[in-house]
Amino acid sequence: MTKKLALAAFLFGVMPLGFAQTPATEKTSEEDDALKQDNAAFVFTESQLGEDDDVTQNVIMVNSNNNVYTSNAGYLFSPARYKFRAYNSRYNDIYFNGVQVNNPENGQFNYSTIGGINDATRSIDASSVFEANTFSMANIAGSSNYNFRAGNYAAGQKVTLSGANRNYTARAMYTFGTGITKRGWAFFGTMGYRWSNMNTAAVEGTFYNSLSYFMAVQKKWGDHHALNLATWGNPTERAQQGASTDEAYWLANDYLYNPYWGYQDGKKRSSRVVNNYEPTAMLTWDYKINNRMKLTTSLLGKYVMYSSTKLNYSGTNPHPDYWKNFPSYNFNVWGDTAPTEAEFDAWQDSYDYWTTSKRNRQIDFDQLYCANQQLNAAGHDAIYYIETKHNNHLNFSLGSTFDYTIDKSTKLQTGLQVGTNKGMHYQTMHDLLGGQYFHNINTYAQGTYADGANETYYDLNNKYGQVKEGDRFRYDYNLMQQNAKLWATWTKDKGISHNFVSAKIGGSQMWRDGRMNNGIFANYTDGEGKTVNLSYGKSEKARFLDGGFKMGTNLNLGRGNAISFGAGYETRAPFANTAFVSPEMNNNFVRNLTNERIFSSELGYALNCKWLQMNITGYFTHTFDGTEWQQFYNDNENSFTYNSLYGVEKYYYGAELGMKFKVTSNFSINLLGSIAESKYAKNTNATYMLSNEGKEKNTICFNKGMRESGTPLAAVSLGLRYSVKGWYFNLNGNYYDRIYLSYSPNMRYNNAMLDLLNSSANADGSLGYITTEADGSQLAHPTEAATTQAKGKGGFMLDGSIGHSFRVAGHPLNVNLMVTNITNNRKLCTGGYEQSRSTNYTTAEGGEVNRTYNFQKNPKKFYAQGINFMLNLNYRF
Amino acid sequence: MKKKNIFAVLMLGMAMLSFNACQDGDWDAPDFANGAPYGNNALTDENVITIAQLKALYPAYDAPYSNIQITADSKLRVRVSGNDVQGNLYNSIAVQEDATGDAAIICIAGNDLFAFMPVGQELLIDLKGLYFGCYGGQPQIGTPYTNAAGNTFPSRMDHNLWKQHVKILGTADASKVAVIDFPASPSKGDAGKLMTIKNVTITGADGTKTWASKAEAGTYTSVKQYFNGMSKDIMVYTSTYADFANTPIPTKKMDITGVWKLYQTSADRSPQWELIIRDINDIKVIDD
Repeated sequence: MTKKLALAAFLFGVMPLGFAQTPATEKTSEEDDALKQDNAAFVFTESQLGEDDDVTQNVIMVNSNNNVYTSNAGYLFSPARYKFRAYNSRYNDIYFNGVQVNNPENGQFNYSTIGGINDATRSIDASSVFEANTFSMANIAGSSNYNFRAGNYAAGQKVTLSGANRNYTARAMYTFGTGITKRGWAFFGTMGYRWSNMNTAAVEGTFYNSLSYFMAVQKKWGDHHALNLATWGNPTERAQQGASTDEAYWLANDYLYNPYWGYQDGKKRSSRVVNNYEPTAMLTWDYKINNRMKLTTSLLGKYVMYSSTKLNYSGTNPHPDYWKNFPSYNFNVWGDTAPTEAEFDAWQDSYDYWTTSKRNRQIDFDQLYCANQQLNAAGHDAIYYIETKHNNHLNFSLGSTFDYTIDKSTKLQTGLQVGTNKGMHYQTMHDLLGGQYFHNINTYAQGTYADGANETYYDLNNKYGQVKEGDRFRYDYNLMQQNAKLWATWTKDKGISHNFVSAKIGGSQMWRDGRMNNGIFANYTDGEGKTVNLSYGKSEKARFLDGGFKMGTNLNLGRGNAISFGAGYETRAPFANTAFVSPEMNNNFVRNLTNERIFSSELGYALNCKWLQMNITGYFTHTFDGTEWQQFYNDNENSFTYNSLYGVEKYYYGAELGMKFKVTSNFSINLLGSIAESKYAKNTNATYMLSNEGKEKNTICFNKGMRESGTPLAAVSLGLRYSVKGWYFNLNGNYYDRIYLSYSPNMRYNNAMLDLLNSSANADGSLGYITTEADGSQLAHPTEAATTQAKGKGGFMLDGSIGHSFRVAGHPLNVNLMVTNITNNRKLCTGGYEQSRSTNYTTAEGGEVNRTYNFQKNPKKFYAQGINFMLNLNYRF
Repeated sequence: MKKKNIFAVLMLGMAMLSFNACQDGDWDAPDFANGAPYGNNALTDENVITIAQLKALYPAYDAPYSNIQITADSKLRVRVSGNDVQGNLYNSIAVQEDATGDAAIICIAGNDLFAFMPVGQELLIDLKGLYFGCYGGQPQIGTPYTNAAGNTFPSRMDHNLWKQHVKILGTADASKVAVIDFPASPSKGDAGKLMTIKNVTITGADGTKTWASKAEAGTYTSVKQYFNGMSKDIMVYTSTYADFANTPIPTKKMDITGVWKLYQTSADRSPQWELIIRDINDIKVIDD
């Protein structure tokens, strides 16, 4: 024992490559797997789950059958919103019974759609980027295939009850399975309910209200054919948490301060409520042709209903953390100059207002009603209202895989994926907050065009119609997509090597169908001088042909040593959510829209012996010609702004270590570590369009070196696992660092950089210089110091769990308590974003604006929840 | 109980629980029977003074730029005569007294002042602690601000501070707001009043020229338009952020109403008078 511990210490420090013991396959224990599976969806907070269609999704539950790091990191690091290799989750492919289910518009998979049906999602075939699988050519962030066949589930019943102080407070689940009967039938069903209200959820002003169901029935005919019909969904209503500035957290004395809620008539009300329901049905035909050939075909159909509300306004921003409401609006708290007496008094007044009452730092719905009612009386439109953004989809997908064992060392898997998707995007009026009048007018354009001009109407086909609650306004369009893909993987074992080669080829097309006749684009003069309607009706179709290949080899060097290598190159068609400059307003595609190109590679070493399983992996990925898109209110231009980056080039590289040291049969030590780099390789071309005039403008974005945000780029975990007499204990100490916040592209546009380089902050030239180009324009040459990306604070988190299995009335009752962030570290930043507003800037007309409030010093952040727990009881009978 | 029955009961229970638990349902409008939720309903009408009395209490206000903290326990009872309904009056409202017609500008940081304080709304303003003075000779109430030239004057106060100093009285009645005619010889006492200038045309109006295009404003955020046949000390002053900024100026004769603001940077310079149009309806074309 002492010897092993000493050796373990040596291993942790020195990373030996030369010694080995007898090979022994040791998979993660079923107990651990069950723990992870059971709680995975519960560990994540709402924002970690990436449930929101309107924000970057950020969770990847990648897995691997062979790699200690890959199979554990996603779960262990989830409280810090860990993203595998800092990839966007669009690089992680998810399949159900062999049919791909990622959202076709953004490539991401919404894990919340299978939340609450944990018992149905335990059987997963997962592979990392350079592992062959039976259902696809794996994506660079891995691929997973969930088995949703009724016959796959064990017979019996199970009741699970949970309590927690997280995003929901209580959970109940019931599961029933028959197994395969003598007549070849199998039925499986599970139903769950998760709940919290405004007073019980961990984050004040949020709630969670979700019913989940899954039912599957399967019929087998002999040994060759089986049909499975599965249907599931989870109608969910939940309130969101908003990020805020450190100043707000300080004033509220609460790192979970949430600016999205307020009081109405003394009751708590959230301004951001998401409703999501994706009823899905899938029919699967398994055809075992013979002992060496198998054909699996699944047809999936789903209708996605996703909506999220938002408090909007055409008056003063009513959110409590609006920058003009902060004490630091009154004098430059970051400067060297002492405030005047008047400035300090104003700061103190604001501070007192924030800290006197919780009511003062939340939304005052009563005032919004009062304002709208006053406006009613004067015949004006409401200026405060809650709108609902709808992102609905009708999707049909077909996946078919053919599995052929050529001989005992050679396999061929090939498949087809075909899909069609209709994305329906529109906005409705949810609540006029006491108002009676509202018109579908582009208030941003009102100052640009004459009073009553066509350009100021969002829909000329219904120019003067009043918008009532439930009516569509501002934008309404469909995005249509069709795609098909063929893939094949050939695996061959030869001597000490296990090899595979994969390839794919696919085609896709997309177009927009505008359903509102936006006044700015109704009679638009295109580049050839023709007058066209760019808004209403169908756009041209954009077509793409993409494909790629990858290969990998694993060399068994004997005595448990193995090295692996993989490399691949592929192209991927752009996603519809980034393909249009301003899909809410017109049909224009982003300029130079083309396939993204991806080169990926990986080199790994594995040691697998009786008491140690270890993986060391290095990887390098280079992506080219990517397209990114975002929208936000541009305060400098007094307009809503749509921003596209094209020709995006990024590097992803890093190293990972995973060690599982089995000290005794019931005590093991795990060590995981990752150091990752994920950044833009060069500055990027950008196009942006202001909604107040509809003109596209081109510029350069100085984003070279910007890192992927919202994930720790460095993470280490030391875990202890001990079990005795039916009890098991886990304790994990995790340290996270290098957490970057989402950078603001427009703060790095040429104009913004010119402002910075012309300011007094660059008196010594340390931030860069400016040149005049041949056409007379000015070009910034900022240094790295001028484009520094905001960061969040990392830190240590201690997580533990304890569990025991009892027998009650002859059946097992499992009890498990998980406690996260035992040391109550509330200062660990889990993500956020820079504000897209300038502190000092020059207007298009040359005017200078200098603000006291410093936006660049006040990024919006999320912080980890303090100590929190979940208690699980499940009873099988 | 058989397994099937357990299953059915649990499914039914969960479904009922879920469908009964919709948490963001329909919301009823709040009850404002006990007063508007905007402002300080605890204010009483004790120690109400007039604008003239305020000026008399702090005579040092009368300078191009001045800034005096109001220390006396005093209040004004005034009626809103102009606001930011179309973004032309920025971060301020104009108020007048019913009885005297005297006026002042109240500076408040906010873009939605018109929603809470429509034209005709009567207000009770607690002056104690606020600042009174002049910006370019125009009497204003607010909190201190020192501009780049070193002049200190009352400027826009924090909106939350304002809410502690104001009480909404009754409902708005625009008909009670007095409008003066263009005075033959403008005086300081008219500064801030609502005024109508009649039978005027604008210099350069050609059917395409607008009230305040960004091109005409250049590096500024406002544009001065002058009247044909009148001194250039009298003008229509319009923000490029006004909703009607890019609306063409009528070429025909007009009656134009607006807040009549004084701008005189020093005693030895001639005063300039700016007519601030509140909204597009302040412009009446009279020559058909």
